Amino acid sequence: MILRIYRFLCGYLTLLLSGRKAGRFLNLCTRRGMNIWNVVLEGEDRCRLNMYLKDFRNVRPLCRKTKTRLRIQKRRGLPFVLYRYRKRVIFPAAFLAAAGLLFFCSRFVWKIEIDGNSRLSDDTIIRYLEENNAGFGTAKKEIDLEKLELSLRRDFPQIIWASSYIEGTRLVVEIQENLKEDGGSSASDGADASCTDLIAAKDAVIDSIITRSGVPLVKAGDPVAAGDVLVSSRQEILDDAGNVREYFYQSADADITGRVTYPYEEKIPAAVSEKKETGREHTVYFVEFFGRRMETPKIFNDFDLFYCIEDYRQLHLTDHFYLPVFFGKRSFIEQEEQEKTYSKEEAEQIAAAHLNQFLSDLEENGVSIIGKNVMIDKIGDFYQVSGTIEASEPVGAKAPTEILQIPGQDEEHE
Amino acid sequence: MKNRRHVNREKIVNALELPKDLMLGTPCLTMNGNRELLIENHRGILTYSDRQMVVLAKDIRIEISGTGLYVEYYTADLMKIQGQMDGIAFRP
Repeated sequence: MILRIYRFLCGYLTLLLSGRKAGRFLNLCTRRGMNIWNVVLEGEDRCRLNMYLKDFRNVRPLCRKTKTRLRIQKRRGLPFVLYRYRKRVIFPAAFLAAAGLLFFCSRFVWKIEIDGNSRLSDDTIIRYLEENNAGFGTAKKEIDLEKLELSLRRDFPQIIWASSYIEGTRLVVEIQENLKEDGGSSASDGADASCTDLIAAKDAVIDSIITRSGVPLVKAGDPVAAGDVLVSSRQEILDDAGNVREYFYQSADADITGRVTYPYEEKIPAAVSEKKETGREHTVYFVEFFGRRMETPKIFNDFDLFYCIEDYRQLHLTDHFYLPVFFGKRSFIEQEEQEKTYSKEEAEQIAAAHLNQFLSDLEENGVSIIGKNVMIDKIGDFYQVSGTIEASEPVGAKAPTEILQIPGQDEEHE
Repeated sequence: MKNRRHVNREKIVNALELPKDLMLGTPCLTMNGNRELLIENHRGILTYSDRQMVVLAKDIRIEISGTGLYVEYYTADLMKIQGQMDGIAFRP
């Protein structure tokens, strides 16, 4: 294959050799370093052979010496192609321009992919990359990947690991988020205060308390208000007279669950205007080069009320070689507004759906529902949904301990 | 006299374990079945037809007989012959 390409680039001829001393001609050619291939006999004293163009230019004396004749049958290769199309300048110029444009495009980032994010949205990270000189259309050599990884970790505390690399014209940012809710805060707590109490996070009635360290100040069944100390980290060491001799501090640790009452309230309007699709739709197609968009003309009147869906694709030569060329369509979907009045049953269904969503959100946060008491009433133009939800959940929260001076210590010194 | 000199030279090449095709200029033939024949160290073609081909080498002539014989490529020291080969004979 490589030999064929080499022969095509050099250019070669298929010749018809005639004469009685054809064998001698071949020998002389090879003695002078000329390459000959595909020598096929065509009849008495006639054979066909292939020879490079540069060798053919020096072959005339050999023909004279051996009294043979050469006739050109075919010309093949790049030199002949270039000669044939020597007046057609635009085609090779366009070919070169396209190659140049591709080379130019290959030096920029035309596609950004974010992997591993679950809470941070793609848009947030892409906007951040644009602010940090690594957005769509940035020159690849201007992007400092290591600096980008560091700044991502620094500016988004929830990112615990970041990696970025460029493949072709694609910038890939892989991140790992810290999915533990209080992972970061507990670490900072430990750093700030060496000793912590457990306090009530919200108003509750204590259900159960299992203390591992610290002094429990409440027992099961006690009502507590938000901020009350549940387990103290301070232990008093008394002397024989019953006075405090010194304090012993050890961070409080306990499993405390409490009964919490959540108020629930919602207003569902009795009459709403609903947007409904009419089924009519108009579409325009577009092509976008380097941020300049060309759309097919709108040959229809705009709808009074509509929404728009854009669906586009990016042109790419390989999986990694994306180009700043987009093509796609924009659909305008007509809508109409309809007034609708809910009956009590419908309002109840909507209220039940919303309540279930609220309850499942609570359960996702580790709250177990014990009971619910929700009523629905029509008040004027609204359906009023109100009631309470009783739940059992961990109520302990860490808070730094107040360090107390031992009473009467100063006097003793005096 | 010439033959004796050749024998001496061959003895030296054997004793020193040198490559014979380089030192003695003997032809080196490589065959793929009976359809392809590669000849190295040739000295040119003597006769050329599609039934018989005589290739010169140092001290010997190689006669190839067969049908549909043709030279696929032919350079100063390498030659590849293709076709249906029936026999190869070496003549002084």
